[in-house]
Amino acid sequence: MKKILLSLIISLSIWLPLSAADSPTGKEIMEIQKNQHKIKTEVTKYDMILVDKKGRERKRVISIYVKDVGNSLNKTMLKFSEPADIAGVGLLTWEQGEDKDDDQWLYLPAQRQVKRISSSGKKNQFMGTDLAFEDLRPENLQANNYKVLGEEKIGDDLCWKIEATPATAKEKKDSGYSKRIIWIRKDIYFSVKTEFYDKRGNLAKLGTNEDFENIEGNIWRSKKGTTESLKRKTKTIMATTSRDTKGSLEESFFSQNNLKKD
Amino acid sequence: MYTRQLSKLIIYSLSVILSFNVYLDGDSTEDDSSGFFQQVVDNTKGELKASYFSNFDQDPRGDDKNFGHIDLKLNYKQDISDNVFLNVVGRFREDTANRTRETFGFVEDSDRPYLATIDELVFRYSGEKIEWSVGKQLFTWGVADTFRPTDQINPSDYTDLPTSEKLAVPAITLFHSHEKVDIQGVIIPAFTPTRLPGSDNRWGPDQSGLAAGFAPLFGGVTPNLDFSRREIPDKKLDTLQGGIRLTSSSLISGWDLGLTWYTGYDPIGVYRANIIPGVTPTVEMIQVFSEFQEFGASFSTTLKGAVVYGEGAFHITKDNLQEDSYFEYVLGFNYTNYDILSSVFEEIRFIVEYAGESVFDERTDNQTYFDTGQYLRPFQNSILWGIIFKHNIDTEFTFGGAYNINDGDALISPQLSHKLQNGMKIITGFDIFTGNDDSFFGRWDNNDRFSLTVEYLF
Repeated sequence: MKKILLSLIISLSIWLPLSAADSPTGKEIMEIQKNQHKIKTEVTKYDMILVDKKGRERKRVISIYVKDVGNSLNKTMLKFSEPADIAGVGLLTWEQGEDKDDDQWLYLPAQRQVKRISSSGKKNQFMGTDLAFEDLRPENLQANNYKVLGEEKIGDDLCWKIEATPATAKEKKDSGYSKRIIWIRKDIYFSVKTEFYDKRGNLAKLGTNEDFENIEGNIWRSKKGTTESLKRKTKTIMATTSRDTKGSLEESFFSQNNLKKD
Repeated sequence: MYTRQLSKLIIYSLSVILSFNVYLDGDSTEDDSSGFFQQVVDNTKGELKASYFSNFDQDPRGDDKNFGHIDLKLNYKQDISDNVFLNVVGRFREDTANRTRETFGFVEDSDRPYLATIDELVFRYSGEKIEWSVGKQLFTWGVADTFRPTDQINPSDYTDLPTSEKLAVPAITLFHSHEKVDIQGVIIPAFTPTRLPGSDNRWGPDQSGLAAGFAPLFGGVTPNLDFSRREIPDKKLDTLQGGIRLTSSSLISGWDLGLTWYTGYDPIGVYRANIIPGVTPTVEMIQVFSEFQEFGASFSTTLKGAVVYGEGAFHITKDNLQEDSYFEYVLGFNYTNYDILSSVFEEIRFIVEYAGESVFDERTDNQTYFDTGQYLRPFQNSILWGIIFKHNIDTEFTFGGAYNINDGDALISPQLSHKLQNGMKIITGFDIFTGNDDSFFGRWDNNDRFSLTVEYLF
């Protein structure tokens, strides 16, 4: 009997961790998603297409510089180079993590001044696009709760369906979303679709990623991301035109002085 | 007259383009030249502005009620090597009131804007942590949105007060980025004075009161006043101007801090009266520029979704000319709301500042020196504001203004801007001045106006 009991305990002790590994939690999936695709430095150039409700398109050219500075924190610089009326506009973000406000500065060439801006306005629309400031920053895993709702196929790809809700009082106040439903591809741990729900619980925006490319190992990127505002009936398409993941950027690059430069 | 001046502008522009083509023809093969020309075109951005202003009242000096202005800027940017960068802004402008000079100038020390000029010309060398910039440059020190007491390097052009702008100065700049603190040192070898409006300009000095003040010296005869002379400091080693600015965004997390020191010549200066007796006596009001030092500090941080900032500077006048020593400061915030009237406006941005001044060494009027009054230290106990109602990506309405609490005078500037298509924008609005004749804004009570500007970026 003792032997049977011992065998049962041993079997259970082996089975339980395996079971947990087979069904990771929402937070574990999001952690893998955030950490697996990390690159030390990355410079990506996009054609940003703004589509208005009549279907008219406007093109902007934007470069995004990202550096992983450790502790799951990034420094990011974003610069517009076209069209002429927004060329030179730049946004610098130093992530602070946990529940702290990020440091953010905006440079508007017409004013020739780098201005600190409030990152508490992260729910706000970014430069007339369908993206909010908070959509442009990496996922803050400490500030959200994640729950696996199940598995679903998007196209041919089997995905985890995860519900993300603000976890802290600050995030609840600062975020423009009451919840997000995120579909993460099981094979590559990359989000393919996100539904954004406003504070009233209505579906407000839809984000999709497509045209995936393998950068190296298990690091993936999407070459085309679309965010659609369902109420405004507008769309912002971010089409990648070039990507450099092999170069190096010093942390000192992410400075207010560099934000002013073309 | 306007057509004649516009033609002049076109002729100047064409001559520049033609001379450029001659250079290409002479020095290069056709393929090389077209390649080079294409590179220049690719690296050049332009801004063309045509403005029309209509004043509601006639000006006693005879300045026209209606005023037109055309302004073309061409900005050429080029990476010369991995570390060296060139930025040139050429500018052509003309107006219907003959406010520009028909000459070309590099140092902006003329009393009127040049018809053709190099607005900026900067060579920049960027090392890993050090950066040198040499040339004619514009600087922005300080953190405030509208009034910046520590922003002292560039003088201004006030020939049209509501559209006043900074004048670039020849300078050598060293920028050094440390771990937590950035240092910027600036040396300015040649002095550039502020450009004040002439006596035939509706923004110019009202001479009648001042001239009457001199009458007792001439047995009751009111003299003529002559404002044409200026005593610009010599370009010598001991008249070098310069400053240092230390800034940090990481000494205290979430705070931008700055310290500034500047020494130079006050670009507005004071007037020295020089009496020329005669049958019709004249008093020359010679603009002289007092030497000063300024020590300043600034901060900017966020608080409950707003950006809160402040800056102040001790302005210490060295010479015993008619110019006080004083401390001027500004405290303000900006806040963007996305919920108020959200069906009409995507966002409403509020900017509010309080500007004050405390004099710690007052110089009194005497018969030799007079302060220039009009443009000096306008905000001594004032509220400044801007409320920007953004309807959408193309259209916004701005309600800006300033109110001086002591004298009850104010400037109110409502403005509507609308993007017609990519790169083309139309801006229309009013500038309304109120207050007593001897107050800062009230003296221009006669200059209320409507404005319309079409701006094209290419």
